[in-house]
Amino acid sequence: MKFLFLLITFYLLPMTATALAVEQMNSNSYKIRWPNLNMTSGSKSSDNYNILDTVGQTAPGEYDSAGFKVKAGFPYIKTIIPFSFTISDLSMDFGSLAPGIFSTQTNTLTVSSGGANGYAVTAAENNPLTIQAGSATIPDTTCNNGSCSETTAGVWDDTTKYGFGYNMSGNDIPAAFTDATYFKQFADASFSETAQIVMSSANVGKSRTATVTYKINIAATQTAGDYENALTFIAAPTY
Amino acid sequence: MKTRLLLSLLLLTSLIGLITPSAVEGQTTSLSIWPPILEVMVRPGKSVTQVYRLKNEADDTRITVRMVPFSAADEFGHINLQFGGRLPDYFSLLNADLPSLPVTLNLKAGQSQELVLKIAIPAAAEDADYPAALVIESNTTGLIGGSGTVTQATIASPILLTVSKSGTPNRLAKIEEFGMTRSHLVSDSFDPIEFILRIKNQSFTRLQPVGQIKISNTFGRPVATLPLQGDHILAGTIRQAKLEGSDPSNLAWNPVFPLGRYTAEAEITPQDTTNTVSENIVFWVLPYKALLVLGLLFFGYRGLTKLKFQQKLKQ
Repeated sequence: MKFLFLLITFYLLPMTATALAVEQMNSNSYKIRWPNLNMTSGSKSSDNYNILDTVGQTAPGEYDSAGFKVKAGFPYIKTIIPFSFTISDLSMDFGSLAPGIFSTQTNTLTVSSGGANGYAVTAAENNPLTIQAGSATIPDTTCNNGSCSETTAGVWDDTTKYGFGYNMSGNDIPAAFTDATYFKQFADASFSETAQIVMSSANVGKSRTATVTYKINIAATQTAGDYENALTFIAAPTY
Repeated sequence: MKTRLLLSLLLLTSLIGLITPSAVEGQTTSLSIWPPILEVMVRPGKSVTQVYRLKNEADDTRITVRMVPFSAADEFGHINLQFGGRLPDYFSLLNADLPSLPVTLNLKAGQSQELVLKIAIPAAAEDADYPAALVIESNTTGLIGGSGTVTQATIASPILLTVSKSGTPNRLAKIEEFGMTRSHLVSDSFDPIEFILRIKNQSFTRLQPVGQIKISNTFGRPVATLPLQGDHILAGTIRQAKLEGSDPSNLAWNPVFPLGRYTAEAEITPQDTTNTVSENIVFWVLPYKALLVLGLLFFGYRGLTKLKFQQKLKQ
């Protein structure tokens, strides 16, 4: 019986210690968030430098060493998760476009982020869809009532309204995409428009996935030819 | 006859295969980087190194690695990469097989690459912040046969670099705005009490605010303390405070049934300093929606009773 009691005590003891370890420590002048007991590589030090990136710390994250002051990276809670970003398909090929008929293509964006403050993915186009040999363009959509832009979403289901735009669905998407009929323009880098957030979260997330639906509609008067542009998606953790 | 049909089918299949865009069209990009973010405080004349691990988890690709300065994109910690912006010559790669930054290299599917980044600060460097990001651009784009768009992936790992001679730069914060999210100062007892707290960094280096919102009731008795998350605030920028572990806009108090006059005090101290700043607001909490409904019911009932009484009198 005694042996069993001792066994249970030894079994429960580490759990108690862990619970204490993740409590918040603070005073009037410092606070350590999410102290952790992860012991991994990545912390580098020598007589000449010392740098930490949220690993291997069991003590408050600030100290002096060899004339250096270094900050421990406690603000991050799951830094053993690398920051990763995936685009499922790099080519949105619409083939031949028919006037007055919506053409759509989709791909997915997937993000894993272990940073305590989450992440954001922004998107921008190099220019509007432009004919391969010439200067004719398919303009960015302004939606049904001319109200949508790179910052504002609007309903676009009227086949007499022409242009190029996108919709988002899935995890961590902007609230403006109320449903599948809401579209926006991509920010146009050739007009120095600021890249817009298409996915973001303030929390730790693994395999957060959103679908981008690209849509084109052209007028009968559109110059015949193949139109192209390039989109850049930038994913970065939030500091 | 059968042979002819088979040959026709084979020809048709081959033609479809030729017409269908190549496998490149379905190409995927997947890049991961570790560490995802880094904080460094370093003294002039010294240097630090950090090993970054980069992995290509999709098809073969060609990447470009560069350092890009960034600024605050908003008040929530998102970064705005400034491609074309200038950074001092403090960053270099120590990899023997790679030339200086920016560098372009091939990454096969599943391949990992270690990048040894050296940050060397000249002895004459002034105390300052250098927010920069190690940026990995995938140069792979799709191919399209007709009209369409090609996409490219870029990932960034922010570096919060502070150069400081003393290691304890003077950090000053200012409460730029503290109030209720709703313009009026009377909240409903059945709604969460939502605050807005915007903190400005008035110093030349980034800071992390340590603080809380203390709420006292009509009698001055403390009833709640809302701990604030110590998010980084870049020099000269504003950041909206949030509760620890909450969404960006969430700075709400959810009491059971608050009633009366309350005082909320926001108190902020930049980490490693005693430069505390605070600000108070007074707000009222009343169950006005419930009172309104009760009032309407009461007057409705009174009206009906009166009407019925008058009808009785007429009869």
